[in-house]
Amino acid sequence: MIDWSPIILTFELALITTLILLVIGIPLAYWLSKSHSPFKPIIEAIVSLPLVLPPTVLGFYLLITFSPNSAIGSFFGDTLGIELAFSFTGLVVGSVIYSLPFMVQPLQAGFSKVPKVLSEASYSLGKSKLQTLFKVVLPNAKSSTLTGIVLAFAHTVGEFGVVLMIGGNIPNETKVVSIAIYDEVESLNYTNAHIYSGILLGITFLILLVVYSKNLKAVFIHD
Amino acid sequence: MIKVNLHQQLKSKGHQFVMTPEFEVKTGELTAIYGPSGAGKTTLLRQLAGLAIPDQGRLEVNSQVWFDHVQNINLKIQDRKIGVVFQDYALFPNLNVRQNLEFALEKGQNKSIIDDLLSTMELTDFSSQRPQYLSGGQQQRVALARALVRQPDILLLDEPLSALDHKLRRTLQDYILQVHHEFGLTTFLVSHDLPEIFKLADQVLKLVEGHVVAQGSPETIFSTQEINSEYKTIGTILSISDSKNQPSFKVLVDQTIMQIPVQLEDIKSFKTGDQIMVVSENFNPVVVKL
Repeated sequence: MIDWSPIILTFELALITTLILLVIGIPLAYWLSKSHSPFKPIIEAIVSLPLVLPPTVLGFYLLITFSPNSAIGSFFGDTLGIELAFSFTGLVVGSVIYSLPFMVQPLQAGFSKVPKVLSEASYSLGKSKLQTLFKVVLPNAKSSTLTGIVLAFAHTVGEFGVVLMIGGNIPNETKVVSIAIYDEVESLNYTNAHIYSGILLGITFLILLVVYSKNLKAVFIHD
Repeated sequence: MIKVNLHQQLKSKGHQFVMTPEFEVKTGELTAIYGPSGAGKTTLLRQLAGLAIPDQGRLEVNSQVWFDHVQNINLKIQDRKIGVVFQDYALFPNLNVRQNLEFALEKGQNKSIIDDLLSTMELTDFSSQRPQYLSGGQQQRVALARALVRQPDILLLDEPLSALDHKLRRTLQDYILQVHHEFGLTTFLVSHDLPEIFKLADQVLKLVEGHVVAQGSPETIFSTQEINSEYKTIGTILSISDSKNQPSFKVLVDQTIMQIPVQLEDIKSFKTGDQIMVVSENFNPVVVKL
């Protein structure tokens, strides 16, 4: 019988990461879609870095940053009592950074497509910028929001290099399913590797199938 | 009283110009803003709305300062008592007609105004429809109704009827006139359509390159240029009737087909599709080929 904890941990990580990315991604993408600031290209480049950077490079820098010897690591460890290196919290932070472009880019593209005049109409009807974002812009960028959620979730489920670098292989803490598969293959335990891989393949395919199925598209992406 | 004296550097179609609208309008009047493309008509509406911020100047509405460069006052658009009907209506596609109107309700505002407006605009039957499934005229009425929910002092209409056919235009002009009087509004209407301006406007602001070059009643503004004492119009010959009793051309003028009686000998030099000018001299039509 296989150990189910890596699978549960993976989806827990993906869920928390996606929720945090929604909270960070919506205002960030909204700002990027509206801004003419000279800093915009710099922010866009930073957000997109994880797309091109090898996960091990990102993982290596995060590991250095999370280490108790660094200012950030010691601040979190000593002041807040949160260990980032080789911990689930560290994995969440790493995953949020690693999957950031997968949430921000679809959202930014979706927000840019919502006609500016709709926001102006909302302002002229007495609504604030925040009310306009949540009541006008987001509902008219539903398909992009859904794409962002699915991509961020799927990308977090599939991550390996970053997790290995900053989380290692601690059962119930950082041993996500991709690490578990690697571990089982290393131990030549192909049956378990097959089971984990099959479950991961099946569940992720199902999620994507449900999201992209025509029925749900009609509900979510209508208009 | 609305007092406008603003200054804003603008770029229009590649060339820069300074917009300096300066005028006063009495409360309760319907003012048409008229002028060539790129004259700054929409920008003027946006300045009044608070969507465009002038560099300098002052805007005062009923003794309340909405913008004053010297005193550093710029009332937020949300705090200006305005209703805006945008050129392409800007209805929220994710909301149905009723929800579009309800969106505009202020905290604690009596909801009964929604039903009143839906009924005034004859939209009650469509209230659960999404705007994209409505005709242009219906969408225009929704936009107008939505702009009135907050019971604004000033209604700003940016060529609201330009996308509609002529018949519908005439009907919707009646709605605009009705709400302008019923709600005691001060209305600004950007329009290129002279019949529309004559029908609706108490006065016209003629804008050229950002300056108000003339202000007055439609009659005084247009009498020297566009309206001549003799009737003159341009049209296309649709068909030619060479009936001996009453030879005539059927001419398409604007969207209307007119029958113009002509002399039998005239017919030979014209063919269908010709662009002609019809001039009325002492009530007798004269046809000139263009």
